[in-house]
Amino acid sequence: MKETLEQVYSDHRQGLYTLALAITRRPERAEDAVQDAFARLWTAGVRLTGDPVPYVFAAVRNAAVDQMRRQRGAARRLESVSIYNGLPADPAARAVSAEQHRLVREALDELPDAEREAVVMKIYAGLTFDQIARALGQPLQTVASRYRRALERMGRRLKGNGDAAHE
Amino acid sequence: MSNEIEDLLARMPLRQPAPSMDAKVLRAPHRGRRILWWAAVGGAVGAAAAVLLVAFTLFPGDGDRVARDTNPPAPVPKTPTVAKTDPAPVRLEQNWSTVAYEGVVAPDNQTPLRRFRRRMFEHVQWIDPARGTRMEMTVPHEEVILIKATAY
Repeated sequence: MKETLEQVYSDHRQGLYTLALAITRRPERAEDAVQDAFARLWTAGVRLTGDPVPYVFAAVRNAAVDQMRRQRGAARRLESVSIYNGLPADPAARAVSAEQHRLVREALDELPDAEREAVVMKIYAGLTFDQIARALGQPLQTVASRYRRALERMGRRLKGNGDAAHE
Repeated sequence: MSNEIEDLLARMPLRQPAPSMDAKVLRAPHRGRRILWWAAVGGAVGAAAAVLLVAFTLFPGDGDRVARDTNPPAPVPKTPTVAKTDPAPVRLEQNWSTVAYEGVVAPDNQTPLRRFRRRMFEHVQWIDPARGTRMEMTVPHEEVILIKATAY
């Protein structure tokens, strides 16, 4: 059990943190959520059968939601932090332009929570739809269509803003 | 279009967790036990404080006199804890006592006596885990002790 959890953490450290940050929107709370989730998993002594990855992601997601509930109204809205880092100062080292960076960040932030979680788990955690479905306790088709809807929504948002920027 | 969006999303630079997160997560088992330990200690201290608060509410006493006591009241929990296994009810009993010196008195204007006031509190709880009920009772006692003052 211990080795399994350590392996999952080692393989999905960034994805787990990004998911927690996408929910809590505060770096320190995201780290706390990951820590809390593993603390619960260590102490629960659950025997994992099959793929442990969805189970660990579900635990981190639940811990992040708990962290959010603990934040009071104003504190929840203040200091909302994106999952994305700032761009490198050197333009040549940038994989995306400053404008793309801003638009994508805004588009992701505007997604409904469930769609944003699906995008984060698919693209940034590298999970399969089957793993995401088991982590969220949702049917596979629901998760897949949620993901597609999120991409379409982001595409429309980016296209709309791109057109507006060119006009 | 979806592929373009996916490519764009994949190229976005992600915020990294602090390196300290690794140490926190990997030592999580100890943290879990520490939380339980602190919860147990906190619960015990809280229970003791609550009983003392009830006791001092029942016996507000003379503030100046209490302040002068050279021997401040210290809770002396005698805990003959009777912990039975579920679903049998559990009875918890705690007793506290304090002694305050009140100076020399001479009731008959002849024999000097040292007067002590002893206050005792019996706190009993009955907990029935099967029914989820709890009953508490606090019984205060007070007695005055007079001891003949010896002249040297």
